[in-house]
Amino acid sequence: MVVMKKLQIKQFAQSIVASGEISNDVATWLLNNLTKADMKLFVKYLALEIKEVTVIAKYAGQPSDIVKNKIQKIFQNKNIVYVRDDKEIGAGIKFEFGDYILDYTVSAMIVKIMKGIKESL
Amino acid sequence: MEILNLFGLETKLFVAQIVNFVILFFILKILLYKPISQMLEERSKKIKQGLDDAENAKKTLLNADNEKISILKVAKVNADKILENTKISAESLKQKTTEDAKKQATDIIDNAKRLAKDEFNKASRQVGEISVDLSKKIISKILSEIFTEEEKNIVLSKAVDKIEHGGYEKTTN
Repeated sequence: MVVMKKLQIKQFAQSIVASGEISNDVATWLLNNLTKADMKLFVKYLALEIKEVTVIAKYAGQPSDIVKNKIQKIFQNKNIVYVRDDKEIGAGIKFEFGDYILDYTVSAMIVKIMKGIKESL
Repeated sequence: MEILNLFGLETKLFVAQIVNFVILFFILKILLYKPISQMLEERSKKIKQGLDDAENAKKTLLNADNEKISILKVAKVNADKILENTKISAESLKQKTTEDAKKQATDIIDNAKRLAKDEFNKASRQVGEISVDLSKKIISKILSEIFTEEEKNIVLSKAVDKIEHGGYEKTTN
């Protein structure tokens, strides 16, 4: 068993996310050498790193290549995960990245309008 | 003298009688007249004292009567004043009580009105909120069916354009 410092675990997670994949060898090494606590910490850092570099784009309809290119241009150096959810979105698109949300959906507008109506009651 | 003798008056006897009389007079004066006179004088003094006392008593009685009348007058005036004050106080108290009761009644009515209004507003708000929630649910259910595929693509494209040009605010998760 190898005992690693927090910073080392974080850097390790960052390097794995930067490479974009975990090889079988690395996975085996992790399973065999990290303690349970270190493994938990590693998974936590990994999740945070993935969240940091990943943009989830929820949309309704079908984005064209031009649109996809524009999105890629907006979020440079980020992994964009496309999720089609017509039922929730209605129309438009919603981006979730890190702690931020960019919501340009009809459902969000409706929610906003309804909230306004509720507050004015 | 002869005439006196003629009438049977003897000079010697007469003088003796005069002497006797004078002696008796002095004896009586000393032994009887003085004590009696003293006693009469004392009695007279006592009577005078009694009369004076009676007079004083009469005066005192008169004064007492006058004083009584005066006191009664003052007492009557005071009693009248107290009665008047009491009447005024009672009237004032009555008025104040009536005003208080009116004010309380007004307050109660106002409170009740306010509560009723609040309750009405609350109920209206709740009904409104329920309506809004219901509308939101209905819209959410039919949301995907409102737009055609083409419309969805147009909205999507416009949304991306807007985000690209920084026309949309970022919100925290």
